Amino acid sequence: MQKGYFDTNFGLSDELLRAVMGEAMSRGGDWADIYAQHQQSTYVGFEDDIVNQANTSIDLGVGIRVIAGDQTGYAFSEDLTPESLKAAARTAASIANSGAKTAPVDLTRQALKGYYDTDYDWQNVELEGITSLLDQINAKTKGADASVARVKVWLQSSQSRILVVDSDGWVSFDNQPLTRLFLTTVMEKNGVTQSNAYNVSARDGMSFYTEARVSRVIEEALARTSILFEAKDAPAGELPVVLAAGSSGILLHEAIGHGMEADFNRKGISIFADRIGKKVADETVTIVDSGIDPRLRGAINVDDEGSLPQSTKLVENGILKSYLHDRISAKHYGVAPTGSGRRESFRHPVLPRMRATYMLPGPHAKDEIIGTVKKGIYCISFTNGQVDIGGGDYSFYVKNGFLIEDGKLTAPIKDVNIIGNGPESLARITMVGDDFAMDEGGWTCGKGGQSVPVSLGLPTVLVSGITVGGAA
Amino acid sequence: MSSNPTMEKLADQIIDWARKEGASEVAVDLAKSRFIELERRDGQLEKIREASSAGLNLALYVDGRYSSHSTNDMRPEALEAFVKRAVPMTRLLSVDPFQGLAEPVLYEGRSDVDLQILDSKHSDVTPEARQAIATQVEEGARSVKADIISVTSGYYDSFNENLKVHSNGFSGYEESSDFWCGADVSVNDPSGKKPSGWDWVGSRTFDALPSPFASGVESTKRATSRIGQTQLPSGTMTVVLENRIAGGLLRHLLRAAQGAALQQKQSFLLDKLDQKLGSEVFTLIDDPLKVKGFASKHFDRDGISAKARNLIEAGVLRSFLIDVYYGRKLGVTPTGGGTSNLVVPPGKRSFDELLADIPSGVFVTSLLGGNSDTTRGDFSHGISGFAIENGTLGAPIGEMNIAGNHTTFWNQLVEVGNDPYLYTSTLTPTLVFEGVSVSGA
Repeated sequence: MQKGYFDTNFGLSDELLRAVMGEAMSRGGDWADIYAQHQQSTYVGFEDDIVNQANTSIDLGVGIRVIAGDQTGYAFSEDLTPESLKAAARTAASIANSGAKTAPVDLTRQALKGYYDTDYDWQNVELEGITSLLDQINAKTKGADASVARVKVWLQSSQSRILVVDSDGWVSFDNQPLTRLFLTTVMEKNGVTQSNAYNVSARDGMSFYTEARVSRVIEEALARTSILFEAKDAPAGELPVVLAAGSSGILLHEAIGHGMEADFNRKGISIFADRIGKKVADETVTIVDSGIDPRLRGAINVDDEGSLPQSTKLVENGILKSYLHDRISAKHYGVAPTGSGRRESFRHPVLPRMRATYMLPGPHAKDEIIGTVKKGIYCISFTNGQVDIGGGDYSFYVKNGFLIEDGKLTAPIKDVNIIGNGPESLARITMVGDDFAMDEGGWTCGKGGQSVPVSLGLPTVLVSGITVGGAA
Repeated sequence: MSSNPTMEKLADQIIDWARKEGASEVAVDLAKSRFIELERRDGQLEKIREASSAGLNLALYVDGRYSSHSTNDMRPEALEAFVKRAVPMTRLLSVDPFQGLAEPVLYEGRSDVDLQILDSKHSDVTPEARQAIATQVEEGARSVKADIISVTSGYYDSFNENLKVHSNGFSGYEESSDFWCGADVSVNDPSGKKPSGWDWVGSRTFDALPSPFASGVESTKRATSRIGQTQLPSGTMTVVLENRIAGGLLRHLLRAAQGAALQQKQSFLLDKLDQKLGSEVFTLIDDPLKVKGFASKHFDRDGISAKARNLIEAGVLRSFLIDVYYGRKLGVTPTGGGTSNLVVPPGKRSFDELLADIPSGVFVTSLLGGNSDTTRGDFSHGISGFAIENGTLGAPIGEMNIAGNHTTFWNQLVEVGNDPYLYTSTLTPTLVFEGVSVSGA
């Protein structure tokens, strides 16, 4: 058999992996895994018509986790020598104390489906290819409008190879490409300056940056900046809110997604704890969290503890269906893992996390939805959001939107935070559009000090009342 | 000042490799750290996490071009290959006349004050002592009468070493330690909500760690205080920011003071130097030499010798945050790009005295999301806290926002308390603002 990537490059032979696993299980843990990662990243930034930042980075290490009952021991090593790995395994093993002996197991390779190109390697992309793309974007953006005062554009790419070995003997290897292009434009008109940005991301290679996509990035960044010159103050108070198709999926991520991560429910501290099987939304509402939508930023071929990903229905026809599980919570609830065990890197133990969270389309046309609102707001683009898991309050920040007056979009608005309560807002989704769109932007989700890439999507949706944080 | 000869030898070796490949100037940052983290939940140890780390950050200046690189693969042969690949890569980039190491004059005058950020006995802390602290936190949390769902208590400590060497004559080494403990507590609310509260305290030396038991008590009290949350109607009112969260808004303000934001015209502070930005009670100092501070240091990331500076003096903007690169682009002397310990000097009155004078308003204890537009200064943040009624705290409130613009907001600051929050590098006391736009029901 051909030697694997980590064996060839870093000496992680099957023999060594078995020996390290033996140390991990030496104090009688129930289960253990070894997570090796080699990540190579490149960032190229273009500002004031030249490349002014270029960075390469290498991150290499092995994380070892030992589970004993509800307890987790975790250690990592950046030094991949047998002595260091065994020492890390003994540190992780110290959580266990049952003295039970585990027989060594044979290692079996797990076959993975490919939801992205695992043969791709960003390390083979010539730097000149990236710098010339950025040069082109800079020139086109500056040339598009005389009021453009500054352009900053960067492209980030990374190639992360991971190897997960568990104490049942399963071995999974994945090669995950990830890229993101971010364009910021600053425009000046009559002495006033405005800036905004647009970005795209995927588990893909250079071919992601088609002419059409690059043109769209430029057009969107410019359009989202120039409309700010006409923007008025947003209103304040509880109002109907129409969320535009696409990046409005941030509503789902904050209002329900985090609350459905099973670690919070296992501890009983989520507002959704004990609500499985209950009606939480209108029957037109179906919400999924999927790891298997091809090439999405949130897609994975295997999760970070060796479980296969799936498309998990969080809400089906208004009924709360399933939490997002890692192995620990799946065992607690007596269900199969949903392939949601993710980690930022080898430095971190696994947590149940979202992948791509979106709502399936409903029956209504976009204009019909807007037409029902007498006074409200229409939200188009967002920068960030947050949630309080137990209280259920969540918020997200709207960068671009419009006022809705008498069923029509009128003045543009900008920079307003919206805050609601998760279960209440779900119950207030009164119309779901037929125009589903997956957002192509580069969302990163933070939890417990760990960041992971995720995706979002939504059809046009009406929430009958949320608190809009404009000028009172 | 202490040193680490092994790290220094490695830094010299890396500079030597880069120079041999043709780099004209080189900056090397080497870091080493070790940490231990414990988590207890509901009466038993739930998680331990422990490791040592090392890493290199390398900046290269080759034929007028610049690039930066980082790796944690510290095998000597891997490091040499890494440096030898990085130098030719730099040659493919644009010539940037503004890039380069700091002028050596900026390295001069480094303070030799003992910052007291290292516990010389950090490695003597035993596993039993760590466990005992996490247990005391939990005992404190459970000592408060409450309908508790879950208590997660924790302990964390770390030891860090950083060496910075520049090929034009800079060398600096810092070592530090820190120790933390605290808890997150969730309680039942009759409405079905599960409000939570947290409190974490820290110190630079193990013996100075504040009472773990008291931190546990505070966590549960903060959780129970959220029971029965309601929403106030929208309006313009007095807003009091709790000391532990006020720093969040200051950080948004300071984003606009960064050299990059100014040079890229993405700053509402452009042309505002030496102008009035806030009321006379608003003073903000960046103090890198603060003894025992969580962001104390003798030099910044460019190697510039650290000294205290007034960023805002009685409401007047006195300094931007300009690093060496953007200083050259803007044609001004660099003032230092980052911040360290941010200090709002305390006022005279306690929180209770401030509160007693406020007939109505909101006391904000938590910010939930929100953002600000660095270019124009508009901001909007989700909030929760308590209603203020006739000089006392009323019902818990939430699902509300505050909104404003940084160019006017800081003028509405009418008083600062005498109670700076200590467990952070943004040491702000209670801040009282009048006439703030608040949205609710």
